[in-house]
Amino acid sequence: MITKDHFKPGAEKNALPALLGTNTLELSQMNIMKSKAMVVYLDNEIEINNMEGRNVFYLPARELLSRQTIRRLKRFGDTIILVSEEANVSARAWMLLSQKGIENLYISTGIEELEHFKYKFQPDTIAIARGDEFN
Amino acid sequence: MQIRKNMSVLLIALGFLLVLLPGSGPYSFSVDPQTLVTTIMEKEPFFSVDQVAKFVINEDSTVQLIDLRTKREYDNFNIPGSTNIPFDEFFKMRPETWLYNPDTRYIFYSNDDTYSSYALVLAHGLGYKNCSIMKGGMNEWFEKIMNSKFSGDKISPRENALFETRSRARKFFTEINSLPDSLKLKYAESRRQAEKKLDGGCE
Repeated sequence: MITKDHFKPGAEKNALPALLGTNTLELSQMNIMKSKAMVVYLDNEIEINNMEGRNVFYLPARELLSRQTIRRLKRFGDTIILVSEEANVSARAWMLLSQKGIENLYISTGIEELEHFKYKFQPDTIAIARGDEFN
Repeated sequence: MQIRKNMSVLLIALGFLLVLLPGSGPYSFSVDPQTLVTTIMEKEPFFSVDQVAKFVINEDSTVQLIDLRTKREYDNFNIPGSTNIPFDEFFKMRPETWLYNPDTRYIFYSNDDTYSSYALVLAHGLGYKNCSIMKGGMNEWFEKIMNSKFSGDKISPRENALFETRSRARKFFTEINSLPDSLKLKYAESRRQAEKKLDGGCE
């Protein structure tokens, strides 16, 4: 069930940490913070049994903005880390929860750097030479 | 006294106009949270790189690709037909500045899915339902479209069509990004003419 409350005013202000890149945590940072942080898993498949003793729970997508979820996250009052195997899942969840006024919210980036381009573009030298045709 | 009154009316009207005008300024999510969760987290408005490749080679005018990478990255190479709106600019301006046409399908992409996912939620949260992302971003484009190779003895008609699309998109991408900016438009026009000739038909 979804709260009847609207989203927190000022969408661009709520999204500012995403713009500044201050809403991400590397794996090493996450390990340091693990004792006091709440870890929210967004994928069903991820094994969370070995995370016993920590404040860990699985949050299904449909429950993301439920009254219960929002109340639980707001009440926690400390660092909350969203974890998913796919960067886009945690990014979408982060933006939705931030617009609901959840603060101290981070996404775990895992090993790979976000928005890192992995390939190299090789220009076509024949096309460059043929460019004369359009002159 | 009358002048002062007129001035006040003018200033109030001007204030209203400024509020209504698109540009920078505060904006908030206006859609129903449950609908937003269903659309964004469950339905997932994504296009695959192969679907985008089709739009690109067909020069589909109902689609507008929005490249959220930096200007420098965009200038190095970009998907033909895309518009560059760096991620930070996208956030600073009111979205109607970019997403003004309700008949256009806007597709965001960045290097991976992070920036485009943020932009997707922002756009849908503000009521722009005609926005999607290219799943996997530029990394996926390079993996599937630019670097894909067929290895095997037999190829099914479906695979053949897929590889044909990828090959045409790769050629278009490579050639247009190898040319200086001054020649890109001429290249696109020349390509269009060549496609027309290949299609044949009566004038």
